[in-house]
Amino acid sequence: MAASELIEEDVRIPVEAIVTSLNSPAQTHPQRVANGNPTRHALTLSPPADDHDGTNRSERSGLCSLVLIQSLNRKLKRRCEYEKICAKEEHTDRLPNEWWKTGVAFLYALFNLVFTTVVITIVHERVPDKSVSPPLPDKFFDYVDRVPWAFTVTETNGLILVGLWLIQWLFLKHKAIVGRRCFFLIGTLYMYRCVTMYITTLPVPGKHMVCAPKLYNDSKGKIWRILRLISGGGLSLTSSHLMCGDFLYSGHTVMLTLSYLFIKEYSPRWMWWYHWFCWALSISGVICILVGHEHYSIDVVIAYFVTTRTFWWYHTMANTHELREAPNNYLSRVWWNPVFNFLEKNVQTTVPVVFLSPRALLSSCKERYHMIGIERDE
Amino acid sequence: MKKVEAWSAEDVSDWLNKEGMPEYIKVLHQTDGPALLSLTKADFTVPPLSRMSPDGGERLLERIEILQIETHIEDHKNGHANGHIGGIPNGTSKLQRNGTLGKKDFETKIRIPIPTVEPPRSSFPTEWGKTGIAFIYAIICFVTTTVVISVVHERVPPKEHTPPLPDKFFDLFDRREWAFSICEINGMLLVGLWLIQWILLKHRSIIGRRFFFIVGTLYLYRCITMYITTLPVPGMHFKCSPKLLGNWEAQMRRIMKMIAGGGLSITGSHTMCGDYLYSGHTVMLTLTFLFIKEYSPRRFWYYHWFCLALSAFGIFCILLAHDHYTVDVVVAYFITTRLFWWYHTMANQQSLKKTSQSNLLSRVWWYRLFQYFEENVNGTVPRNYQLPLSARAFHWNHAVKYSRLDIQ
Repeated sequence: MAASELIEEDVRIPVEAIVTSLNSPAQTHPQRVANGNPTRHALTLSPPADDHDGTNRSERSGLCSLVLIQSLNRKLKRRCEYEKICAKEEHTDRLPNEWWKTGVAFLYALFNLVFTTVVITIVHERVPDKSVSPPLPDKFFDYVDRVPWAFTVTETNGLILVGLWLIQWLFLKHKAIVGRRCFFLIGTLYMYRCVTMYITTLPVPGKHMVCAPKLYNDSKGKIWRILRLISGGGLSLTSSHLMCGDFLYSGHTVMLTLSYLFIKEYSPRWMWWYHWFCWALSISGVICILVGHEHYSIDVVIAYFVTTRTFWWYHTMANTHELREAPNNYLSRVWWNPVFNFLEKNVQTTVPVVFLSPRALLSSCKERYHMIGIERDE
Repeated sequence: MKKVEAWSAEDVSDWLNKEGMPEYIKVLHQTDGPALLSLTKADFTVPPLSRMSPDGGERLLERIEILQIETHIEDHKNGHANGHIGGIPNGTSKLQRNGTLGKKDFETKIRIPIPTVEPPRSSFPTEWGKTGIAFIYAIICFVTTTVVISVVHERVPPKEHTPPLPDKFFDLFDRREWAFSICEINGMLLVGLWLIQWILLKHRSIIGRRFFFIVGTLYLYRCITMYITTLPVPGMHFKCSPKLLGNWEAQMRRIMKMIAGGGLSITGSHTMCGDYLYSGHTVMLTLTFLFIKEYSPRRFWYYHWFCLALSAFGIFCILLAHDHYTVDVVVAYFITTRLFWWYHTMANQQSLKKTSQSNLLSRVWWYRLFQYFEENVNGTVPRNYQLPLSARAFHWNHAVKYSRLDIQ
């Protein structure tokens, strides 16, 4: 590439002329004719030296240099062409918004959340009774006795983290792309959870758990339960979580871990205190799940593992563009690779962590509504 | 303008005139083009030139250099690129503008560093030491697993006390007694095939290292999951050996027996219960298949399909025998495949071998260990075969060479 560009018909030699008269060492500022090109090579030109006449030399050299400058100027203008460097134009296309893809991801997440609720209701019917199947031996439970208020702490922490992440997300510039990723990961993790909950049903982890009675064939009652669970977000705080059997793996751990990972990934690096605070919330929430004897240790460990691995996997695939063309891209052997390609095909660079100020946010919202208003009028 | 080398003395004089240095004409009236070019500073220290030039000939020498460059530019116009040109728009020319009399402002040769992205030269050093370390790591993990199984066995709730958990697969399929033997036979076949294939590989040290590391890590994870929560036996058909509460000697003997038998029921070494989440048999079946497929020639599709059938059927038979819960098998499959693909992606991609903000794969806990093992391996390990203990290396597959070119 470089060689052919160098050899061109009209060789552009951007020049800058520094004219100095050599016989007057006092002259310190050489007159320069710059023509605006970044790289130049300077020619030193000297006026014709005259051995004989020393007195008029400086004036003559001054005049000569002026003439020289003028002639050079003309020549340079003729010879040099300016090159247009397009820098910023392509930049906006590298991170297109594509809100409709975010919408698709949102629907995917919503579907999976609803599906999870349905599966919980089904699994609830199959949970062995406490008397028939006592809680399984768990190492953490052997060491730490149950603390009743611990689970409330977990859920409060979870709500705080989700709230913080929501606010952070609203202020991000590339909301659409980041939101898409969040919805996709939530959807996939909850889908995995459906599978593991359904295939093997673990008994309740503690005798304290109060499970709602089983509704054997009462479909209407089951639908009511599903709706109640959805509206309460599956939290015990909202008294929507009366069903048992959804132990492997823990959805609370997923939300705590995932919101922390997203918060950390999409916030500026210098806000270390914020990261540490969120990390503390997350970890204390997870430990409190176990302290409250609401989940087995295995549920929490597997949830943490699956969440972190899927998050890191997805983001590495999204950020490492060499992988997209690499022949040995094993990361693409996951089943959700086609979905990933659909979502991230046009994202050509790592999403930078850029925030909009509240004013900018409001103005962009106004703009969008304004434009929608115009369209409607038309 | 003809080349300087072709100039005659007259041309030189004309040029001197044009350049405004007529004082040299008299002295250099005999010099032609080549001689002009060969003038050096030393010439200006001796008469007659020393008399003529007040500045030690610097100006003239500079002008000569400009002349050289101009002729070079002419050459380039005619298509002779030789790399040193001044004033290219994308070049980095060093300019010293320091406001002096201009002598130092002029850079004659401007070097343009063009960053050449050289493809990393592939090198696959054997480094058997690292393979040895990986082997020891795997052995430690195996022994730890056996110890943990022995420990967990003491805590398994008796099947009368805690019946088997409800499992969807068990609801659909009844138990078959012969199924588990099939699973173990398939497992042994696959391991045997992989062993033979591994011996025939040329880069067996690197690949062996990878196998030992992955197997070790998978069994280590298994220790953790088995230990923290103990699942009850999946079926009433299980005969668990009696608990040896506190009897260390008997426990050690049990551990030895299990290691010696490789943890297989066929060898009669697997009499302990409690090692359900997750299934070690699934790990071995899946992992050997992944390695076999990865390090065998692509055209051996029949071989790949055969191993896939062995592996899939083996896993199905685990469940058919009601020897593991479905969740054990699913989790084992998930963890094995993810770890294998994670490791190999990092190993094959040079940019992922360094920690960076965009390389999130580096956040796993074993990343430093991975870097230690794979730091000197550049590029994808090719599928070359070589009989062990012989210098003769023969390439099964010409396509291997093509794939090497592709990648690099």
